[in-house]
Amino acid sequence: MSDFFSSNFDTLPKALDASALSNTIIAQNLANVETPGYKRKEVDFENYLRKAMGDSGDLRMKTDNTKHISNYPNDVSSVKPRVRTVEDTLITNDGNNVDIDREEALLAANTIRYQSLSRLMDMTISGYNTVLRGVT
Amino acid sequence: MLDIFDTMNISASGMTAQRFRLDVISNNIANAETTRGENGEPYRRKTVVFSEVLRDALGKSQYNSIEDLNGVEVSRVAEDMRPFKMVYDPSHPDADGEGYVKMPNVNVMREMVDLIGAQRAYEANVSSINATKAFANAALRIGRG
Amino acid sequence: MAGGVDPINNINSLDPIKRIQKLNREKTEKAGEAAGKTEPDFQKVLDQAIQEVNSQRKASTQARNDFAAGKISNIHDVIITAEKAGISLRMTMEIRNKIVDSYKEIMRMQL
Repeated sequence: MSDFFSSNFDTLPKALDASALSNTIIAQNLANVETPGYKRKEVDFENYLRKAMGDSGDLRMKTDNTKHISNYPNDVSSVKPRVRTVEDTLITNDGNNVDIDREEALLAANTIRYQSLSRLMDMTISGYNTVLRGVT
Repeated sequence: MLDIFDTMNISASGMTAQRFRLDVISNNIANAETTRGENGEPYRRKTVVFSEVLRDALGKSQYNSIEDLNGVEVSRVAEDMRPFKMVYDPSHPDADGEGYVKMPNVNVMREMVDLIGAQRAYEANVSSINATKAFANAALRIGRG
Repeated sequence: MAGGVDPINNINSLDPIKRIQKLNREKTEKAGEAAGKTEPDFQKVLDQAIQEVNSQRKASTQARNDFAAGKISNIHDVIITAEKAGISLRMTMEIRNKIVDSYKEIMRMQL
């Protein structure tokens, strides 16, 4: 990303993608709440992004810190959400491990997260538009 | 990546499956006292078996990518092969020599519990569709300021 | 507060309306002074405002990234940080516009 567009233009769309993916995965989990042998799935993303951002949370490369090996353009661009099958939760007699209560809670939380992220994306874009509108 | 409509189809398949299950449960309840069915035997309880649907139906049991996910389906309707209930009721027209009637192997209380479960699962899929709609609306607001 | 430049460091503590009024007062005072020592003062005012905007913008960008990474769980923290940046930005735009107006008026008077 050029310096004109802030790093938000990298991170927010990715986070939105991950959240949308989570929604699809949760839909699959809920559709299969009674399917024998079905193991629920989950999306990993936030910890990957956190790692890419480094300990300081700063996306810029710190040339004076030898321990900080992440390089902003490479690390963040390679961050991707990943789907994982969860094998180790409580299961019913038929091998299904979907807890409908928990899944519905995840649905609600993820929906709010998506709405929050899209609001932040909107504000990021609006910031630029404010400046550009002022230039007449 | 699955789009909004594909995700809604997943939830819709869940709703269809639970509705079907609801029908089967209702049928069990309606026939809880049917001592003589079509084959002359008492009504036998039925259950539905669900299975996960993956787009590529080439015998894949493990999905390989998000593109495979396609919800759920009722793979078959199974008959509950547990024995019929023997109820003592000499006045019943179908009572045997000793006054026992072979009754369907339906436990209405159990069916009611399953009914509530099916309803709950159905509504969970409805919540999922509503969430997906909220996603679409939220995305449309980006850039509106 | 007579004459001088309002320190933009207090940008967070002053009522925006009062600040505009102060700018108008400055504009009139500067127009009264007339003789061409206008540019350096305008420059300083604008620079300070821009610095404030930049630091707000950085904080805002960082907060959004932190939210995306799950480091912040309260969306309101992020929104408030972002709104502060937005307010600073719009305030700076306003300052810039006032400066341009003042400059134009001074140029008119000198003709």
